[in-house]
Amino acid sequence: MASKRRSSTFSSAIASLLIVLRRSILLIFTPYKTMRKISIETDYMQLFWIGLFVLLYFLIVGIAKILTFLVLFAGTIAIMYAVGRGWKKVVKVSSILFAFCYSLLPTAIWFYLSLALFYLLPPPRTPSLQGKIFSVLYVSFSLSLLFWKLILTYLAIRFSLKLGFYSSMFTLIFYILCIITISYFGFTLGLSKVPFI
Amino acid sequence: MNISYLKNKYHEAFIVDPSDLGNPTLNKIYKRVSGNLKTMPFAYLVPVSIAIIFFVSLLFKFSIVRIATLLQNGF
Repeated sequence: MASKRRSSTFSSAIASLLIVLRRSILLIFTPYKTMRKISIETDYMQLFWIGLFVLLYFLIVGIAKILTFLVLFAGTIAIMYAVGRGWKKVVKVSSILFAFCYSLLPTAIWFYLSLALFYLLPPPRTPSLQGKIFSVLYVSFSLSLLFWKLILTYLAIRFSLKLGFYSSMFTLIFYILCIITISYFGFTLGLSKVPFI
Repeated sequence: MNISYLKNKYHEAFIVDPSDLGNPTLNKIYKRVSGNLKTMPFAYLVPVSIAIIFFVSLLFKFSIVRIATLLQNGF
């Protein structure tokens, strides 16, 4: 009995989907007639399909951002592992993973702060006194976080790869150049403006 | 404080060899700079950042307001 009810719900959901698809096409050719029919519709399953279609867009946009971050982070771990092996060091992946995971903290703080400020004080900034004071504070704070991030990345390289000063600095510069190159492609493809790394 | 605790602390402190820049003067500068940054780095980073922003904007005559707008749109 329960399986019969389940199969009828499934078939009615599919029927609703087919109606949505048909009406979507008809709205192009006969919008007047189709909209008149739609306005007297009572099948709520059709709303579900349209809602799902809209929601899917936001999911795809979100997933694209998550994937960009995952590629960057996995790339970071792979680069560091390869560099460590290149320097002929005994490298522990867990050590790189922990160190670089914690070095994401300044990035996350900056993104959360920018998100909050985007809604509290939306751009563009004005050249008024308040606008200038806010701009100086915001850019200075961003720069401080960038310096903190650089310090943490340097320490992550130094401790996880067990390198000396010059080797760590060389690795850091190489890593920054890699990130800039990857970020440029991410920017041109419209995946991210400021890379989350 | 037991001996194993001290041993662990000792191993932790020497997880990497001390940095050697190959020159006593450079080593001295490095130790001084890194010593300040090891605890409470923000006490130095924030004033340095403000000074950099101030001087760079004066030197290159670009608008700090535009940079703030760009950054705010960049997340």
